[in-house]
Amino acid sequence: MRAREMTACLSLLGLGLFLVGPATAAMVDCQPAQGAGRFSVFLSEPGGSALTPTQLKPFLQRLQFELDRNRDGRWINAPSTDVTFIACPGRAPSLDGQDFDETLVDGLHTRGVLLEVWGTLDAEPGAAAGAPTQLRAQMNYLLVPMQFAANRREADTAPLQRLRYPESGSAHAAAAAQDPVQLIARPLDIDAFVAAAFGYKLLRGRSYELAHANLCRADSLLEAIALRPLTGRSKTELATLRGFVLASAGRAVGEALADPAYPKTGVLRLQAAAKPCAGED
Amino acid sequence: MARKIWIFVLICLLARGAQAMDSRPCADPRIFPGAAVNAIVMPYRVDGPAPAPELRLASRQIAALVHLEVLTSMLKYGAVGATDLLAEADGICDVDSVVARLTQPGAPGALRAGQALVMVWGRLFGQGEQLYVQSFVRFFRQGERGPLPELLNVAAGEGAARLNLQASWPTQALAFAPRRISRAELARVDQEFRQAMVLRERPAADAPGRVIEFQPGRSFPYAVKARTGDWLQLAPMQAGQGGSSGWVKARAGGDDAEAWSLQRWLPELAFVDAVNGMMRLRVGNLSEAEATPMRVAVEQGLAQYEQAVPVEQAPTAWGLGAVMRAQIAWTAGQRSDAALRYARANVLLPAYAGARNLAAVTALADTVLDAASVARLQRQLLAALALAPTDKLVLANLAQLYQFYENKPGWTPLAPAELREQMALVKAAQAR
Repeated sequence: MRAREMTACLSLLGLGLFLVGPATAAMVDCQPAQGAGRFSVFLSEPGGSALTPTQLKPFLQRLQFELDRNRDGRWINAPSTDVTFIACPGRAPSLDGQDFDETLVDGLHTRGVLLEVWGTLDAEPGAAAGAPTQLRAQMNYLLVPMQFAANRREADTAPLQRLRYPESGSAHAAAAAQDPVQLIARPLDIDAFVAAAFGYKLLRGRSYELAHANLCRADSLLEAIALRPLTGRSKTELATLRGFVLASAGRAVGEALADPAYPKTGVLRLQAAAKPCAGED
Repeated sequence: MARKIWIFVLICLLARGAQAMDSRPCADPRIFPGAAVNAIVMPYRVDGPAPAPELRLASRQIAALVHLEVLTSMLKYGAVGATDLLAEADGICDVDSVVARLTQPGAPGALRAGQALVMVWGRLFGQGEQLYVQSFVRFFRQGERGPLPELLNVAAGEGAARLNLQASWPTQALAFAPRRISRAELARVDQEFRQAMVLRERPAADAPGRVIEFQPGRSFPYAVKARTGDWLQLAPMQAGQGGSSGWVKARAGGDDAEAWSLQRWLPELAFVDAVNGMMRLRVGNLSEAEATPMRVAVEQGLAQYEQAVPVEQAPTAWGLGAVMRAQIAWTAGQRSDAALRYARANVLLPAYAGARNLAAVTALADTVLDAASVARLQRQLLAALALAPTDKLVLANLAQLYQFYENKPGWTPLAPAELREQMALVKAAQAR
């Protein structure tokens, strides 16, 4: 078979894989934000029955617009880290996250990707006859710096977080269950995972004060998420992550105080490594 | 003496009850000198590298309608002005540049101390027939040298064991959750707004009148000359502008959901109206009879927003709403109620150092200090500092607290050497 024919066959094979839909994982590359010090969140295709293949790209574009709400952050003094949300059409990780091998995670980490978001979106018939279809989602959040560290046996945490929407008893549930973007676009959740991932990345880079502030911010946000009616694996994984984040904040204080290069008047000297984010018990 | 004269002049200007509207280029923003609160609506830009012409037109249409909606809603507060800033062709309207120009003391068209500014802008994304619109708001009062944060002073304890603490609102800017409106709905709002905005010969719904011509991109410099009940008399601001004066009915707010109201699709405009009312209250010089309906309108605006947008989608807006309600209670002397509301804001804004500081210091209002309450304050201030290590107010409060410990050594959990070290660290952080 000549090279051109081989290429055509491979292209058709690729197209075939794509048309099979999100049930089959497809890890096409996605371009993160360019430039030093810039960070990205990848929004990959969800699987499930709620969206047809032609609806996936518009869905991701809308999700990107929805989550990018702090784009004018410098003008509104938003406290969150400045990250760019990138829609990644055609990129559909498997639900269990097994596509994220060491090579892939290394590449994401090197290119400043903090978080990858994907999952499943399913449409279920309404409870009563004639009732509108209800949407349900499981969203996966891979915290790339934590997975990078776990691959090197440096960290024992839960880099893959899984949250289900809608949550029972949520005022948000009824309205959002009709709109896939509103169902999953939760600013608090994204902020928490971004702050955790960014804080841990900074800690590995020995930027202690910024790491500490971001990790404590993540701890506050994760605490707020934990107050919601989470169940099962979501609840356990979130608790594991929160424990790791708090321990990492303690590490930031401890390592700063032990580092001879850390300033004698550094503000972390006001905090205790055993209770790094202070506050009430 | 000079200060008294200046205040008198300001009061006279405010008492004029000026209300006005205008459209100006972005590069030359100006406020209405007689308005206590100025609202400025900046362009809603289209997201994407090469937006289609119809999206550009929609963005201009939205900004123009937001301007008119904001103005007609805020007329009930009196002494207000609203300006619609227009970007030059292909230019952007930089919020920081506009703020810098409008807050430069003494500059022509800039704010004077005591006046408030509310800025609204946004971005737009089109997908088929649907438009997705996100609005932003930023607001402040002008001080002698520039914008002022909204501050709260809290004194607790007595004599040598007294704490003079300060806190500010956690944020005076926010990004609203994006909302959806179809192109057809936008066109209908535009059409119905024009039909509703009829200049009538008398302040009565059945009086003869003519439709005001609004055109996106064209200036609409009208001033409010008189008021009778809900009716306002508009007149052209500039000689030779053409047109004649007439009466329009002001928006009442709350359940006053006219068909043309953009608030049905963009409920954040109800929130912006609450911000306008809050800023009018903060500027002050109001009688109780004037202030009471404004407080009601603020509550209505917040409630309307919260009814339309659940907390999960807009935690920051809900948190800022809790702060505004708390501020109203605090100003009315209802300190315990206010402290509970500030605590609620802290729950809604878990990552804001300002919210934690505000909740911590207001919890001490109207309480007798003891070792436990002071220790709790220390833990909360350190928690706020963990979120924002350079926050000047948190550092100042910590310095106060450590000074307090020096005067009240029996209450401190720190050893003397540790206390001295902590105090030195706080002072070093303050000096940075």
